[in-house]
Amino acid sequence: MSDTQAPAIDIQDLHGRYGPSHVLHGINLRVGSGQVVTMLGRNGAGKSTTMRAITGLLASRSGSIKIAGTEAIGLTPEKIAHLGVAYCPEERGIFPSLSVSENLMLPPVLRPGGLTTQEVLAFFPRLAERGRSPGTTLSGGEQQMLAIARILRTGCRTLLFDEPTEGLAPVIVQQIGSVFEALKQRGYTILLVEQNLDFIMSLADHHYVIEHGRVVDQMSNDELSAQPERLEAYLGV
Amino acid sequence: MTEVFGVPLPALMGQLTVGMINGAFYALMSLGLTVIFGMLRVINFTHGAQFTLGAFGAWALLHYFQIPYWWALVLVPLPIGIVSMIFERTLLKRLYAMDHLFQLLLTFGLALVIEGLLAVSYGSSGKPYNNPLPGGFNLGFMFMPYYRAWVLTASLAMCFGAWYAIERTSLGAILRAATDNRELVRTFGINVPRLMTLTYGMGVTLAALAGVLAAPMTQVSPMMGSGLVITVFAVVVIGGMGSILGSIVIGFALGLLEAITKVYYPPLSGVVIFIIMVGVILVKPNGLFGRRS
Repeated sequence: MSDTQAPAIDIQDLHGRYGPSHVLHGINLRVGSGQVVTMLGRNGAGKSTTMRAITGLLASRSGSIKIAGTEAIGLTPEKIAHLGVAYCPEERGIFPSLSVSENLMLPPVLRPGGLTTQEVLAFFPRLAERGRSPGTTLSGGEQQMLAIARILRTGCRTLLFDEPTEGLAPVIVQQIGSVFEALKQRGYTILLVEQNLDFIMSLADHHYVIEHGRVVDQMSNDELSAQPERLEAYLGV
Repeated sequence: MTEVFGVPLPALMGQLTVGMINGAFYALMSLGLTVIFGMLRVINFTHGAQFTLGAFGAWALLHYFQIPYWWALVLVPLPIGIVSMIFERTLLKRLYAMDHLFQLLLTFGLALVIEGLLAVSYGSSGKPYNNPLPGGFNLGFMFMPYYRAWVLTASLAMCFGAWYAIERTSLGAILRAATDNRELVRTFGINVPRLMTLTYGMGVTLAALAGVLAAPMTQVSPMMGSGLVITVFAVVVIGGMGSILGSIVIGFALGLLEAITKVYYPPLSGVVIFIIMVGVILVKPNGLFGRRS
């Protein structure tokens, strides 16, 4: 990627609140275009909240979030989506009133160049077999695949995934890993919240460590591979 | 003459027709209420007054401008729907984040204002509206007035249309998804606030259209809607808030049940729906078609 291109996500001094509690205390974080970046840290550190702030779902936020150079701190979630950001929430967000194929086809195509429905189903063949069943009759792994699959059609090139492998069987984690690998090859930008270190170390370019609503450390993937114990201090594993 | 449990067949069929007609209004009204509730999380206590406005609109067009019924079907509901969308944008929208009590105060208050203004302007006794389709079919076992046949056909078509649009189209899928999880749908780039305005407008338009349909069968009076809407709330509770099919099926079923009660045990007919409502609340608090939330 050329140096002149604005980063996909550039967060500066991001503060966020849930009601009266101040949960983000000046996050600084940058995701270069085409990079895979993770947010690591304990539960409750503010990783998911940072993600919700990027999507606009965290209404009470201040500071700066630039999406491909455009300031998004004051935009509504639907406007932020149109900047090319798609979000896969931790709880997966499969709509129970919709069938599997309705869930898949729900997010509108916002920009050209997304994967076609055939390409998406080639990644996740199980979903094609279950098209007419209600979305929430799928297994946890299938629901996660559906939640990933439906945002790949939108043409959004910056993808946010909140704990995509949480609670899933190793074989499904592997499958999701190879999909992410393919997305990376195609130049997608990915920001991940993830606990599974093996999963991210084979995939990511850069890591941020979040603690108490602040970035307390960051390292390239090479640095992490060279000294994984640096992370253990933060995660307490 | 053929009798069914001691009641002459034509009399029974006549009552059942009235029951179907009442059921059609229950269905149309509860459909609007339930779609609005699903999307906006607001119980629209103005619904009955908006129905009344539809009937008065039809009466006013005929009385002041000699514009006939068939034009009123289009010319009345659309402006009422548009004004309701302005109401949603400018006032109702501000209350979404607040306690439900404020939404009740606003929508119920607006209903009182509308009904009060109509009563002051036109009196509370009611205005007659001529039947645009006099005459009827003699079916042998009963007499079916043309106008009732038309109302039944039109309301069944509207119910089916609404069900199809919500359950079988991609726009309906967006509506259902937003009812499940409004925030997530916004992250897909779908303008949910605009969808909420449109939903409110559609629900109110349906109520106003029902009001126009009702005008030739009753006195057009300021309180006609609030009388109806009390039963409609019971229908919504029985069917389950948020269920499209529930609203339609239960609406027609309760209309029929009320009619049968009127034939065989008249004293109970005014309360039978509410007795069922109490039973349903005790056994299935989410309603017969309601999903557990």
